[in-house]
Amino acid sequence: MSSAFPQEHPSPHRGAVKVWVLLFALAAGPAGWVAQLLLGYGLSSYACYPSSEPRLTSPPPGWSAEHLILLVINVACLALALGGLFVALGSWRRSRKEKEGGALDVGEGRTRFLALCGVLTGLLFSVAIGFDTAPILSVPACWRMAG
Amino acid sequence: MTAWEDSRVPETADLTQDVRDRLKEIWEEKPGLLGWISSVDHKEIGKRYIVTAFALLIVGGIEALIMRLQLAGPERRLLSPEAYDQLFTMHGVTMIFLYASPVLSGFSNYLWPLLLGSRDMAFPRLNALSYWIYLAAAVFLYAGFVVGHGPDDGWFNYVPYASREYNPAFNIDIYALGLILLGISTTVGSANFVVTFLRTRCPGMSINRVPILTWGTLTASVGNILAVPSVSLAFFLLWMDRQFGTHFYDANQGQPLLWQHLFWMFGHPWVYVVVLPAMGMVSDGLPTFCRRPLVGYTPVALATVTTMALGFGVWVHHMFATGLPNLALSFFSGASIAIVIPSAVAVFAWTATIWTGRPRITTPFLFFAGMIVLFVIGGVSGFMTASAPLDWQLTDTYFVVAHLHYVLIGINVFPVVGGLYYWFPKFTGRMLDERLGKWNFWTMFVGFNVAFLPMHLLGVMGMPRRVYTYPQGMGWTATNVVVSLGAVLFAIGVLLLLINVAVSLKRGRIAGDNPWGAPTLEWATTSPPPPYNFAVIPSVASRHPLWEDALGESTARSRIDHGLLLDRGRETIATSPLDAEPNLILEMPADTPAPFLLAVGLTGIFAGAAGHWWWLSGAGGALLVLALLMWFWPRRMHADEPEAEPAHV
Amino acid sequence: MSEAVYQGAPLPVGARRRNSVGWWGMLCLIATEASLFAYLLFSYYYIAVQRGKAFAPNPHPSMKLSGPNTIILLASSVAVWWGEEGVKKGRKGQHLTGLGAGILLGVIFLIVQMFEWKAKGFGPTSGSYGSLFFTVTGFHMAHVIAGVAILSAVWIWSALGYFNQRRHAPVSIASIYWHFVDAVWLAVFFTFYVSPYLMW
Repeated sequence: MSSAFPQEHPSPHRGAVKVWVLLFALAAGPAGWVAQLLLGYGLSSYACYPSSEPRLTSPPPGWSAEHLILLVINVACLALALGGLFVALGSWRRSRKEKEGGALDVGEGRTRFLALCGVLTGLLFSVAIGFDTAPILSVPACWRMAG
Repeated sequence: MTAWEDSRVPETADLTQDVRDRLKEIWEEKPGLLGWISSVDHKEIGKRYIVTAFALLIVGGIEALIMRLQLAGPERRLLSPEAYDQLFTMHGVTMIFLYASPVLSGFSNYLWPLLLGSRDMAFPRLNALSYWIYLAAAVFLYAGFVVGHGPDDGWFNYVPYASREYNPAFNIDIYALGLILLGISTTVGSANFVVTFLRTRCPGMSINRVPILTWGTLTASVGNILAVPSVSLAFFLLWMDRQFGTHFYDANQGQPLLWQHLFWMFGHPWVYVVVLPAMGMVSDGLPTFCRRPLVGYTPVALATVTTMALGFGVWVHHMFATGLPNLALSFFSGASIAIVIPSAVAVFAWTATIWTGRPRITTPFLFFAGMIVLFVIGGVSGFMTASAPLDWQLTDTYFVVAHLHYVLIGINVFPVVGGLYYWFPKFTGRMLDERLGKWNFWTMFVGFNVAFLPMHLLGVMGMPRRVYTYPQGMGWTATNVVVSLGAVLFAIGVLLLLINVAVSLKRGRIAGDNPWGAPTLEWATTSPPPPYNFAVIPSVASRHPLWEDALGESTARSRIDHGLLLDRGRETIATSPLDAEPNLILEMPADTPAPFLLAVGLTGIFAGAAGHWWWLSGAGGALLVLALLMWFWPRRMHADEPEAEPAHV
Repeated sequence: MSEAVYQGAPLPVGARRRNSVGWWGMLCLIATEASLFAYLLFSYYYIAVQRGKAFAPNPHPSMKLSGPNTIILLASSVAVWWGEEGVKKGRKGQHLTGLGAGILLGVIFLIVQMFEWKAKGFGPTSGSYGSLFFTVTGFHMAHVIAGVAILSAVWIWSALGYFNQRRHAPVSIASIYWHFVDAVWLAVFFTFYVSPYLMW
């Protein structure tokens, strides 16, 4: 197809990285984070509120493995986020020479812009999953009785 | 009239007076009241949004001042507890729902097509509808208040306070229905922004070249599309509970906490809805006055989007004190703390832009830079309350009032006023006065901090929120006097703004196309812009179309004076979502009263529901259907249009 | 300056199927409506979990009407899809028959739903389960009514000859909305008729 613009195309390397690869790189981190948040919140609440009566001791009967399960979920979600990061790094390597100038500041080249966004998103959401993993290791499941 | 065409190669032309005259004829609004009601020009609608939102800001501000008079001393009885409840509720409702988001919609409506190099929004009629419903919802929400039955359980409206059992009059019903009505306005407006962003950027404006303001409003709009149904549903279920005896929120059969979940699943994303576009204004405005591009465009654009994404997972931090289990809370604590990262990215990017630039200390610069200071203070107090144990100590005290005002006034009002100083010349063709502007800034900035910084202290000393008065001898009196004096000073600052606007509208210096030497496309057209925005559609080759020669970053050059003509009726170009390659010639709608009629019909439905006047709802519904038919009735095909596909070219 | 800025292929003028802004606008509407149903179903599961076994209707809801009705609604989606294929291929008969059958099946679904409502031994005010059942299915029925209305308007415009093979964005836009309404029903059906067997 002949050029639609007098100027150079905004993403010369768009052929080097498929759009769905970039979409995965961008979505994996947030998806992993949302999954662990909702599953973790749901399970940890249900452990203490199986019905409208709160349990004041921990762990409730049948829920002794709760922390372990939550940990497994978080590790799996972290793996997903890191997978997105890994894919984004690959896309970034393939498109980093798309245009002249530094990517952070000048930022020309749409493909490498999205690839870089994927790298940063993967990093941020991996850290965010880490923030939610720390309490699994340190916070008791339910309320403790005062005293 | 030209013959019907299935497709064509769009003509290109140089920017000449002849082209301007022809387009003016096509795009000009009709005179008279009907013309005014029927206008679908995004600039007209944007101005209406801004003026209405500012009027409501002043109303909400007066409500705040009356409350500060009451709280200036202990045991004052200027207001009864009932009156105080209505006042603080309406203050919150007004500021959060009727000012903070609509004013940003106003700026975005006005600016977006100009920033994107287009001739209007993707759905001009939807734009008009969004404004008319907003206006109707504002009137609706105030209708109860003016007859003494305004909402009175706080803007958050918790059950069971808001249940019929404890609040039997129609105060809450007005709030419930009014907010659902407003939600429709917000949703259609948001859909318009999303499609406008994806489809109507000028050729060459790939998504890594759009101004940050459009990232901010796009993110807010996607947030609205996903979050507004939650609050609309919450209020609908409440209205059902109150009017028809359903059992969603009652403690015996339903679950009162359902309200808090639904409300805050919406409420926290909404916080970002009312700040992200304003942060975008700062990101686009600061570089102009620092005479260098924004440091770190990519991380700042991404910070905007990820803040909203994380913002969907923090709603329970508004519910730390409701007795949920420890571990369940800590997930939301972790998410809330994670938001610090993108926020800090933005703050460091702005600071670095100022640090490495050559700042000109103008009024908009002061407001934008002042915002950074207030954002840091509000951000740190937010970070503190993100920690559950600290929140248990501080929740429902004045500490939280201080925090939320630093965030909302700091990140919304300051950028908006700065944005008004920045874009006023584009809106009106005249500059606001710089000397008065600096007085304006310092009065507001000092007044704001005198009013709200001591509130942190009041909170730590244990003064609860939402109390209509307090006893003597608590040790709160002197601080409250300072807070009230600060509020008055802040109000004087806002008054200076109004004076400046009133005077400059008539006597301000003539601005010219680009008075600040700014880099983006809105400054490439005249001030104020013609009805068609751009006589030829620009095509851009970088993020700073007007700074390319000065920066010399690359050899590519944008074209402003030569581009697509599109003059066979109201037309503009549609482009592909990622790389903005032209892929369709858009036929834009003519002015029409259908959006106004639709809004009237919809308001009739809601007013009827409020009073159980079902005949009124029925009439409103009929008008709504008529307006919809008028809106969507297809255009008759041209006589020479072939029925079947011609043999392939 | 005489060189042309645009040197590409001819561009379509006005609404085209996926290209038209109306199609994208409909996707936004669907996104917000899907969110609405997500919040509705969240409310159901939240109260169900919080209230425990006492919340569930006893016996479990019958699929005698709702089962066949689900098939009717799915069939209507197929009919509308077939009708849309008709307009794309320029077969007016298939176009009108498909959309018409979709409308008819939608109306039948609504009538069966009214019987389903009547057959329930409880009302919207007899407990939180009843409130949820009638509100969620009521919301869905409102969407079916809206979908039937949209399809009917498009059918009439089609019969009047406004749309053809080359200009049929409104047909496609109405169809995707209808498919959405049907997909939502599957979530509603699973929640009210299947999940009780899994939960309790």
